[in-house]
Amino acid sequence: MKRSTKFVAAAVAALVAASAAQAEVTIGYLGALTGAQADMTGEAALHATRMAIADFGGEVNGEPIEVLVADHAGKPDLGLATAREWVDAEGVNLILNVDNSAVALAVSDLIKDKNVTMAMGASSSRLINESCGPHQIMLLLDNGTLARAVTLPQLEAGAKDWYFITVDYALGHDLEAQATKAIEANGGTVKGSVVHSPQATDFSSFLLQAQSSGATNIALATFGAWQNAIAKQAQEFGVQQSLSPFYLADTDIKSAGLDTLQNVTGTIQFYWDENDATRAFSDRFREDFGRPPTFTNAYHYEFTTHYLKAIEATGGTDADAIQAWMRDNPMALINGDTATIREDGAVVRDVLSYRTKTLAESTGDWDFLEITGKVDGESIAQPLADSACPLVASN
Amino acid sequence: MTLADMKQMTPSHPMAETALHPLGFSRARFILFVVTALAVVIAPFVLYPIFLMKIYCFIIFAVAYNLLLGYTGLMSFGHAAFWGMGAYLTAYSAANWGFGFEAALLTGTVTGAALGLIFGLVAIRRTGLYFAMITLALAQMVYFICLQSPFTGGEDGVQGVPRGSLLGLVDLNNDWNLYWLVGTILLGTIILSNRVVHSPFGQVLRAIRNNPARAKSLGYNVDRYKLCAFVMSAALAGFAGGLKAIIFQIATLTDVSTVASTEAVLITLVGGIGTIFGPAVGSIIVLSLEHYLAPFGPWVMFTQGVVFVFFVLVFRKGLLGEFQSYFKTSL
Repeated sequence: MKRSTKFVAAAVAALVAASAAQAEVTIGYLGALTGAQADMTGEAALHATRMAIADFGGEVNGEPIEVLVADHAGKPDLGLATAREWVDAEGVNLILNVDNSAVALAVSDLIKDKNVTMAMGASSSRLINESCGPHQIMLLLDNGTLARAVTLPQLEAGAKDWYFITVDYALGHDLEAQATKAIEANGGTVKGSVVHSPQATDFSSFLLQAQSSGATNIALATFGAWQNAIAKQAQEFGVQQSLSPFYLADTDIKSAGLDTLQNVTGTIQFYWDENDATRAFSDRFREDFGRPPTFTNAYHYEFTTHYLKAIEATGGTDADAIQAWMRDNPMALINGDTATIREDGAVVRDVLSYRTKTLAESTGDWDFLEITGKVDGESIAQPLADSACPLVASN
Repeated sequence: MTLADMKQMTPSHPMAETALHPLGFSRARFILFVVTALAVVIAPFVLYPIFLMKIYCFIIFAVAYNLLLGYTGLMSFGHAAFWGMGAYLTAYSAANWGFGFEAALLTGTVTGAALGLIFGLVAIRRTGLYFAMITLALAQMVYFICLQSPFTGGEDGVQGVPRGSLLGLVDLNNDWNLYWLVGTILLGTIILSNRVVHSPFGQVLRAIRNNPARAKSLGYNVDRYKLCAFVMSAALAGFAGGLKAIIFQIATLTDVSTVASTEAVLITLVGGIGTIFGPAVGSIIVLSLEHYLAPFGPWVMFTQGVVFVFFVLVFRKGLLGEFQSYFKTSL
């Protein structure tokens, strides 16, 4: 009897403590902390988020900022359950990262009529079209924008003939379809495509087909370990066409080795060695984390800062007011540019086009990219007139 | 001492004793049942109700699994197929055919049963490792079908499942209403499983588990009984999966993957094979570990591993299994 009263007392005390500790602003970091993407984003983007909070002074409007962390492991059921608990029981204000389209789509349904903002690193174009929401923001380029960002500079430079190696996932097929549309709309042709299964390890026959197709570029609508394997095997076969990856982060080059990914062209949202401002930020980041920030790490810093500014300016945590402020005011980027958030949730920003350096050109272990130009954000974003998002005024 | 006195002193017949206690429980089990019922009533005021409902679904799933492993002696590695397809069909029928709560759940249950019949007809003639391997292989086929068919939504799963209402009266979008319903279903399932195990049918199942040859020599059609137990287990697993899909409003590939099958095995092993309340204890331990270790990311798997090694080494018969042999009772 005595023990049970003690237990009840302890439980009540714990509850009281939990409710007292509830900060005014709670950020739930829901990311892939394990698995293929974890290296690029995972703990690193969490570090960037914490950096942004620390740079902001650790509190907003006199209240501490709390960060909750959970792994969605790429599973929409797990991600949705975590997000639901955060919203119901922890009073979370911002769900951040969400770097998986399936998870983002599930959470998008959940927060539609709730006082919660979601800023996601997912790629599905549905999230800024049919499944857009009043409180959701797309930090990553969606598939359509990414496809245009990668192909348009190449098409302008005269690379007109393309061949696709596509992973047999919804992501791969969507990327290929979007890129094909962009290529054909801008005077290019698609010479052919081949689908590889997620179990594939040998890409030689695909590469030989690509080689004999007469294409100038081989687009890699795939990522991670497959992409590294394709790059490696392309080099072994002496494939002359240039590879055009869609998802290539500094961490991928690091793990595959620059020797296998030399002279690859693409576009990226942020590169640590772009200018003095990015180098200064990267030095600070590297001091604590041991490597320069990737583009996903950078946008976590940029967005978290923008979000905290919105809370400060609106003086509260009302998601509608914060959303309105964030859209009305330009988001400051680390490299000195600004970005804007549209009503469909897309972030319009200029992106960098790059060529990976050769071994001879590279000076150090993270010196991978030569920035060759800037692509105007408006030119690659999905025109609002084409948007299927019900929130867009013209619809 | 008269004969009448002696008669009074002899303990009553064990069957008569079980009949004396309410709901068909033995005394020890009835006490545990009351504790469980109290826990169901108190828990939502202390813990997060949706997490509790998840535990309850897994308890029902493990009860279904235990019926087969614990009381019939059949080790299946394919229960994810019933649980997952139950979840998918419940979710799909609710989201796309406009089925209400009851009809959707019934669809999931029937799907589980039908799939169980197919699995059973193929696998039931084998025992031990071969039985386990056949069920695993069939479950992998179901997984592949789910991965490729458009109706499951691939990696996205079936999302935005409406919860609907109970008999058109009670709105289940309210977490509390749903909680009391799921809690009642859980208690009902435990009563049901106890009844099944102690029915003549359940006794035949245990006879088959202990000595199939002898059961056969007594004139029982062993294969038919096993098949029946298998279909019952599959139907209940489908029901549990459907319930989970309604609660979380999503059905995904996780539910049909081998992870779900392993979960059922682990819960049953940790709780205690062949005990009525083992699945409940196992689910609470296994799911709490997952839930409360989630913030530590990759450390979840490590800690889980350590805990399971510990259980296998120290509690061979599972927590309740060791407990009941220590106190010489049946739980």
